[in-house]
Amino acid sequence: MSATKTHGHAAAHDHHDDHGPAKGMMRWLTTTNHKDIGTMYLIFSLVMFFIGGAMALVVRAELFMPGMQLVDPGFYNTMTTVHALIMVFGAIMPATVGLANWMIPLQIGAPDMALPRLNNFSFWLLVAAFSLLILSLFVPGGGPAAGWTLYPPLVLQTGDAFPLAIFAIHLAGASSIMGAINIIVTIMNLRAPGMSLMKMPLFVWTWLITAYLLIAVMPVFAGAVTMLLTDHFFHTTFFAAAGGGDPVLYQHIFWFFGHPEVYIMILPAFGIVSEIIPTFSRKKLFGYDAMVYATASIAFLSFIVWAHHMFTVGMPLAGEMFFMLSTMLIAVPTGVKVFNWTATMWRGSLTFEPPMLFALAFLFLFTIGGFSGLMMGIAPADFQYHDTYFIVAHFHYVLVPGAVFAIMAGVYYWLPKWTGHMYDMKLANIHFWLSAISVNVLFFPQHFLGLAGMPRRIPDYSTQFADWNMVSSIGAFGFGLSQLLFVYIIIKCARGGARASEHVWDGAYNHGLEWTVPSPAPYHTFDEAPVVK
Amino acid sequence: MAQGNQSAEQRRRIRRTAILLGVVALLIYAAFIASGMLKAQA
Repeated sequence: MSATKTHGHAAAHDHHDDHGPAKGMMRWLTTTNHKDIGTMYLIFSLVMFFIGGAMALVVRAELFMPGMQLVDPGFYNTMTTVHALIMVFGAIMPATVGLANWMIPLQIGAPDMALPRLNNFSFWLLVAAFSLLILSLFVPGGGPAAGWTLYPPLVLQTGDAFPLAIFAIHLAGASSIMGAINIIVTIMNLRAPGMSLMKMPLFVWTWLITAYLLIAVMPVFAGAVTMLLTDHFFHTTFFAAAGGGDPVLYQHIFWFFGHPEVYIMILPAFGIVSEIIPTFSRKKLFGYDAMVYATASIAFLSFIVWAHHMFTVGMPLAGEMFFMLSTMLIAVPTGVKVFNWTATMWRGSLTFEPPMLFALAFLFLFTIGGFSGLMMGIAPADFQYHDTYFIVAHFHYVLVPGAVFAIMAGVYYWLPKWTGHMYDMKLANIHFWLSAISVNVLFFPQHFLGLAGMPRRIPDYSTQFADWNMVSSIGAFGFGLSQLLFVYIIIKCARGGARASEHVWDGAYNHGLEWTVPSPAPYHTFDEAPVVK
Repeated sequence: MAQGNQSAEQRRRIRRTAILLGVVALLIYAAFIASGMLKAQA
């Protein structure tokens, strides 16, 4: 039966070649076109970015001054928790999946993803997941408030929101796994003739490795939250010490997922930056092979560092030494990447269009986040930094001017290919500078707050922390408002503007198959596979 | 390797790889729950 379906799809695909998409809502509900699904992922992630961002602004508004101002502590904790869950699983991951959907078939010369119906199902499952998570805010007892890590026993005190949040996580995880399977089979089976693995664009490579990471660790997280569910409703004691269980076991399992999860968000960002820097340096990427091996090394190392997130729970000295040293090792392949991006720019004919500006900001600011991560990887020092605002500053540097800036760079890089129009460069430059300045005003002072001892996840604080909190909150509102400009630029570009050429950027010529198709990319591309030499 | 002209062999390979990866994901899920059960019984 399955074979018949596949055959039917292939036949239908052949007949679709000469017409565009279906009309109306059904196009979006039933589409199996990788470009449509990519667009839906990107729009979904943008909506989630604003919902999660609004929650962050509630947090920063409360922290603007010492004392309790706007919300009660329970709701504050709900905001920090759901903000993180939405940003990680609803904004950053779907944005990179959206870019993968749009660009991987175009970059490898495939007409679509290998499993288009599964692709559609993955997307709509994600919508269901986040509808449930947002619904959980409105049930008796309020939304989940134990932090995105969902540590027991605290998380078991969640009210009616608990099963909703756990089910939402299961659905989002299933969506991610199906998406990852699709990406792997597409890359392994549908590459154009002549495109060997070591000729693939770096974005495709980073996504191939990310997809394997997803399949390896999303089931681990699903297993952990399933055990939470049975502890809550079926009186098992996986994580309850009173019944012979161990709450620290949850932390081990969570971070065995959680650390690779960081790389699931950042590796595609590395891929995007590796596409952009050569284009605007008008050079080939320096050290392509080394970049591939560095990406694979980072992915491997991500499995053996998890306990650096939990040095303070108490573990044997040998364990602390092992996790400290393995964490330090990650700096080596990451350093290779930073070196190669810099070497690519060396003596290049650089220009600074918006994608390059965001990529350069990524390079500098992600490196700051990387260095503060190294500081916390030192076990004895981590006892000082743990659960302070220093860690909040660290991971926000990695994820906001890191992953989010790279995603914005990717959108500005490929938007003319998607829409067929150039966007307003002046506004995009303004968007960059507003974002780059405000993101530092927002997060840099949090290093000082953390070093001075301000704890995270607390709605009130001592007056000694007042000044930097006020600065950080001003930066937060500046950054949030700046993103409205991003939406305006995208809408304006989608509606019209100067025509974009086939290869859009003069430096993009010869940089990949996506630049060989017209702008906008036709609804169906590469029905005849291109030959790569 | 164009999908529009996918051969039966290619379709079989896609299906086989996808099923294999799905089974691996399910096994990892089951293995971690089993590890929790063993730990709780210890």
